[in-house]
Amino acid sequence: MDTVLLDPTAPPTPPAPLAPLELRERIQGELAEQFDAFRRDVAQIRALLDDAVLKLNDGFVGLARQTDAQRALLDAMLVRMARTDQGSGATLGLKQFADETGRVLGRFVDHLVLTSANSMDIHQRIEEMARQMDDVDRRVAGVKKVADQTRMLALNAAIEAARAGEAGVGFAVVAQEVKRLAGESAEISEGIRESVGGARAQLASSREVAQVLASTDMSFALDAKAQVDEMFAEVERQNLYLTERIGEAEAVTHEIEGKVQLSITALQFEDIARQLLTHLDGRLEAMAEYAAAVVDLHARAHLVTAREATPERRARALGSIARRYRAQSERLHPVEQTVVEQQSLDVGDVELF
Amino acid sequence: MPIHVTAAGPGQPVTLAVSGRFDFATSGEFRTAYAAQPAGTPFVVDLARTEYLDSSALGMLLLLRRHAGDRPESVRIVNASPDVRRILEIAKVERLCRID
Repeated sequence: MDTVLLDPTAPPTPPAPLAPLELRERIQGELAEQFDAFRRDVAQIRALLDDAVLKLNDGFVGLARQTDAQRALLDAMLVRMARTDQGSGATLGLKQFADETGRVLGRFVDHLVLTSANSMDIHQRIEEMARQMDDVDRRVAGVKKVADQTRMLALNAAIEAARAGEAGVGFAVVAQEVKRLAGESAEISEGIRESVGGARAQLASSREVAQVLASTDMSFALDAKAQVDEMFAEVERQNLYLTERIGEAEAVTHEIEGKVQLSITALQFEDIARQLLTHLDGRLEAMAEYAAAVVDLHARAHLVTAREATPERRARALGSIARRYRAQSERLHPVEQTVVEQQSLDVGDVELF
Repeated sequence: MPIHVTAAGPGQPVTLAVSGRFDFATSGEFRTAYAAQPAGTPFVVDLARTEYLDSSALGMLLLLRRHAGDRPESVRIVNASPDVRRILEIAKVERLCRID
């Protein structure tokens, strides 16, 4: 069996050279494919940019609206707290409660002092009545004494009437009647004395009641006042704390607003990027045209070299190709002149405060 | 005696100095002291040696003011200790009398 062995030392057979026109078609095809891919990429970048900028813009505008709302809420809280300070708010806050407690305490103490004064006045009048009761006692004792003497007088009269015998009988009846009246008078005096004793006992207990009414230790009011003062101090502390925290929250909100503004300004990069993409499009088209033309001219130069018989004709034909090449080259340059002026994104000074 | 009376002269304020507890037990003597002066006499109440006062003392000051003419300048309170002064303040005695 014959075996055909390849000689490893033999040089590789070069592929058959393509004719210049075939080569031109093939290179131009490659280039067109590459430039199409470029165009698709640029279009995709543009679409991504549009989408991202739209979303970022929505996000930042929304954020700005939210910080506005937040600031309004904080302002409302501050206004409300200021109103609570003046005690004219609709709701009964701690401050108003303390105010009201203080007022009630004041009214109670006023009332207590007035009650004390009136009770002492009553006490004084009771003392005066007790003195008048003593007078009554003295006068009743006088009446009793008169009754006793009258009784003695009646007794004497009865004795004298007995001595007078028959003639004194009428007088004895009178003496008997005087004695009876003296006894009645003594009984009435005793009754008055007992009544005065009862009234005096009533006065004594009234005096005690008046004393109790007049005497109140004031330490309860001092304690209550201290509690009200502490309540006020607590309200002050709370208000101060809240005011400070709200102030801090407002500062943070302000800072966020500043950053949002900065971000919105930074979104202007979109304009520049869009211009650069448009520029890139133009440059791509110019390069595509240029590349196709160069490949074409190169193929023509080959053909001219192979076909033109005389050096003069060859030189003329090549000279014409060279001119067309230069003209093609120059068409690239105007693109260079339209480079976007603004190379960097200057956000400028953003007012923060 | 817990109440000490000093009268400088006719038309001059009469000073009532209260020692120890100024309460109901003192009130009788206090009243006797001011009632002895003609109505409308101005008074000075010296509380330098007053250790305690209760509501009857405050009532007493009210009655004294009535006797003294019921004007803000009728009664002047002097030398109150901080504790006593706090009670005078809570009862707003300064609406009735001058407190020095």
